[in-house]
Amino acid sequence: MKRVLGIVLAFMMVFAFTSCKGKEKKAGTSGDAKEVSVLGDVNGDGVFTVAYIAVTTTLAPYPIDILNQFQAYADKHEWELEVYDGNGDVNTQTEQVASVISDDIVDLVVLFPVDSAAAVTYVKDFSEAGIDVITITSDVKAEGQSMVYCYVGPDQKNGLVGPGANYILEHFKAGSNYVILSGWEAQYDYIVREASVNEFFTDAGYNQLAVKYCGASRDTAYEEMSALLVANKDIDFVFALSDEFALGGVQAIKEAGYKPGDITVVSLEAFIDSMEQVKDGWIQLTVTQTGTDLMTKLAEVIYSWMAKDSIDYVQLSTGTTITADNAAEWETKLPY
Amino acid sequence: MIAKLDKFKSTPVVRFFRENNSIYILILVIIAACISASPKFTRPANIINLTQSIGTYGILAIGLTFIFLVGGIDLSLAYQVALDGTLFVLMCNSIGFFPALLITLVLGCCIGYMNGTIVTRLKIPSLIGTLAVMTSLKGLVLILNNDSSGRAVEATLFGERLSHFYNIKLFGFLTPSHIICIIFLVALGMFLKYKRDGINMYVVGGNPEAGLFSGINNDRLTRMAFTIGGFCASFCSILVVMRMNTSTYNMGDNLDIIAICSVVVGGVKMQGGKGNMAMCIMGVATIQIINNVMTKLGMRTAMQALITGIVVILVLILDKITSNIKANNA
Amino acid sequence: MSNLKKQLKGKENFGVVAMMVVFIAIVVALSGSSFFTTKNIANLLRSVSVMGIMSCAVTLIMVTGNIDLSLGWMIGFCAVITGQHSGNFGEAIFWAILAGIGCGAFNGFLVGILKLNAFIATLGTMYAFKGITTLYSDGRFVTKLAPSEVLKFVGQGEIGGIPTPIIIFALFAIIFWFLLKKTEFGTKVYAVGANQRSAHFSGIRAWLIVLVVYTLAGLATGVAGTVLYAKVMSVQPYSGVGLEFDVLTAVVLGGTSVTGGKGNVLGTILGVIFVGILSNGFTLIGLGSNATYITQGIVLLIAMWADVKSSGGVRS
Repeated sequence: MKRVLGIVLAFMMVFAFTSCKGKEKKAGTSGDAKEVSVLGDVNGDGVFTVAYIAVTTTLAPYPIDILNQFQAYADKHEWELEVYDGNGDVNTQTEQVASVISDDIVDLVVLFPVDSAAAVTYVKDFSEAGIDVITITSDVKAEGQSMVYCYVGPDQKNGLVGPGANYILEHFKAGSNYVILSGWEAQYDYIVREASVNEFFTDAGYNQLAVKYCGASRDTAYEEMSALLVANKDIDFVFALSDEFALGGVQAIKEAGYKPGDITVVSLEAFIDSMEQVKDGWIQLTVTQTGTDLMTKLAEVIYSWMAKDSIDYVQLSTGTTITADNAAEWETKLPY
Repeated sequence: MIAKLDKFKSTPVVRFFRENNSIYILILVIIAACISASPKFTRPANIINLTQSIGTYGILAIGLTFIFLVGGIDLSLAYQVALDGTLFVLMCNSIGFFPALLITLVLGCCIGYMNGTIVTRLKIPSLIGTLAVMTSLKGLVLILNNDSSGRAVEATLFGERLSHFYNIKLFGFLTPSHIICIIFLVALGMFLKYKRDGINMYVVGGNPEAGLFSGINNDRLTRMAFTIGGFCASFCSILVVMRMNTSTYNMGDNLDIIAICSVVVGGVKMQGGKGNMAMCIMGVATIQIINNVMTKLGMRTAMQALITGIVVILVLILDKITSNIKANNA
Repeated sequence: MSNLKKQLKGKENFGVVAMMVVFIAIVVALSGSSFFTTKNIANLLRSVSVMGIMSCAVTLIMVTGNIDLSLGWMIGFCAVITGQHSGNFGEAIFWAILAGIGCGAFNGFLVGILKLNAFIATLGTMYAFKGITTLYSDGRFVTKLAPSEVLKFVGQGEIGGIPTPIIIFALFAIIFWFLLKKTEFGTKVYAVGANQRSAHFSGIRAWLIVLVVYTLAGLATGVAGTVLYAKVMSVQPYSGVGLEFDVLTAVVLGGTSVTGGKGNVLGTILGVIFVGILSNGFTLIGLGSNATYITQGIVLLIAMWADVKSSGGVRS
């Protein structure tokens, strides 16, 4: 009985693995034409292979959008795209980096690190293996910078947080009370954004009542904001570090009986859902952050890498500020 | 014919497979499948990477095996790893590598001992006790990492980065994580097999009342098992930090669940009283090999999770059936 | 009512109630009267309603001496399915509950019929559900369809000033309290948890009870998933991750024993409310979630310790 089960299991395993193997082979065949030298092919296997080591390709809309755009580019230009999904976990990503290096078939790595401090080690490993790296969205810190070809990403401080912060600085005088709705505690993006908000407001004399971490859940933002509105009667404005939390916050504000504009809400990372709220005046301002913004820039960078041009280290992708004026127009253009 | 079959059954190799858990067959099959599935799998660089991961995560699993042996469970391991790692990096940057190493290991033992005390002195079931510790440690880790997502090790050892030492190779293949894991396996395996306390641990998990009547101090051994668990967690965290040269707030996430799955796949019983170092490391190897080959085949994490889950459930079912057969035969 | 009084006064939940009172006193002392406003109480109850719906059902699982760790991804799965069908309430709730029952019954099959260790089996199914959910939703959060009015009412409506999620929570609490205390089925659940072997000899089909209990938890999770989606009309597949530990905390705080045979739904409700008060109270005081985590751990330890002390210190 035991042996029968063992054999059945063995067959299942072999079947599962070989069915995957078929796919892998098919992907490899496009590199047969060896005479034609392929642009960007460093290791000489006749095909330009780029590994996209992503923080995640399933857990958040923005990385998913980047992947979709990247895949479209790769299909169009016949790049071989190897996708690694880090699932938001440092250990997984560390193993994937080791895996990419040991495979030795990759010409260029595009790295969206889970953690920018750990990325320094990844970049060092890649540079020892002779593979060039482009980092996106979270920059590696000073030490590893000289080994990265380029950093492509949004300007977290001036590009994403800036418009909202400037709007607030224009409209509110010292002594105003505000709360920040943030994402996961201790996650890179949100730490940078929170620090940027604080930096903008250092001299403004605003009172920060609370910073609330909402994970990635609109529901948590809604509950946290409801509790905050009970605890503090005099909130003047809310700074949400993503539209996910702005939407949760707005729902709580509506329910507490405020009118549009009573409490100013500024945000970033525009969602389709929030366009309605922007038009109605619940959210005063938000900034787009889409895969298209980033991919346009990233493609340019990859072309200049292929041509071996030297370019500036930092290449910023640009977002658009959305207010009540242009919300209707963006409603159809946003990817998520 | 029957005599022949009996003879075949009594050959040492077959007896080994019959008497031990079906895991050995499983792992051979999986390795064969892996080799046939992906040529990338057999590259020497990959084999070293793979065995390094087995070593690093194996240490955590070794600690967990002891906790399972005495019939406990530790849910707080993930955040123990995160806390040990975070403090290790903080101390490394201020007081240097070796003092930090020493303090971290002591800290690991202390947290483990605390868990043991909660279970034995406060008489709280280990599932709930360690759940409480887990929640508290999570808060602590987040407070320590409030201003940064990850903290780089700025200190160097003999003029080199820490990650250099993780990948340093003796005889071309033996890295520190291999060596440490082998030392742990051999030392703790000997402890379990030859030392009185080690042998008694099986009694504590398998039949605590019998242990009580034969004069075994159940509580002391339970505390000892949890302390070993904490010690192993701190060692694992140091290796993880060395590999990445950083600590992050979520560096322990999933490690505990992977360790639990690995150990169980290896055949260690969660109810206590059954298990040894060989089972533990074979289980870790199985899970890590499956993960490695799935990465090599370019499977997405969602698919990997699904397959890991199915493997765990299948192994459990297989184990159940074989133990039923054994029981019927006896 | 007298039963309720007995429960509150009795030893069983004394520790939790005492700590709750102390904590509320601290919150009120530090933050003024805002804790006892109707609005705040409603907020507090609404914020734990999703967890509460699940906790009631999990109490039954725990009473049989089992555990379910797969709930976090199960609720994500159900919520995503609700989202996919959010145009039509009937379809949404049907598919969500069906998915929940399917997942729950699978757990029940593994634990009840195949008699696998509940902890490990549900850890395995957790991985499996994680994979299924992420593959099914492709990781996207579901939010775009125009939601049906009924669904909106389920998540955001009010009946006589009380938010609907709280009413659903209350309904589930009553149903499960009734099931566990007043029916033959409930007696059997206790019997299975107290001693499976003697339950078997007295003619109770333990496997069936366990299967039903897990399926009920699946059903509750389906409803909870629908409520979770409907509250903000948006959900991410992983938004339930970690919820299983909160549920476990609440159920255990309520005096349910992890080894089975002991526990009640009223206690669970107290536990759920306590977990809500911790988070809400710290917001009112102005402290962050990190403090909540630390306190929640300590509170759980103290409550368990008090529980063990009062029950004579029998170690399982």
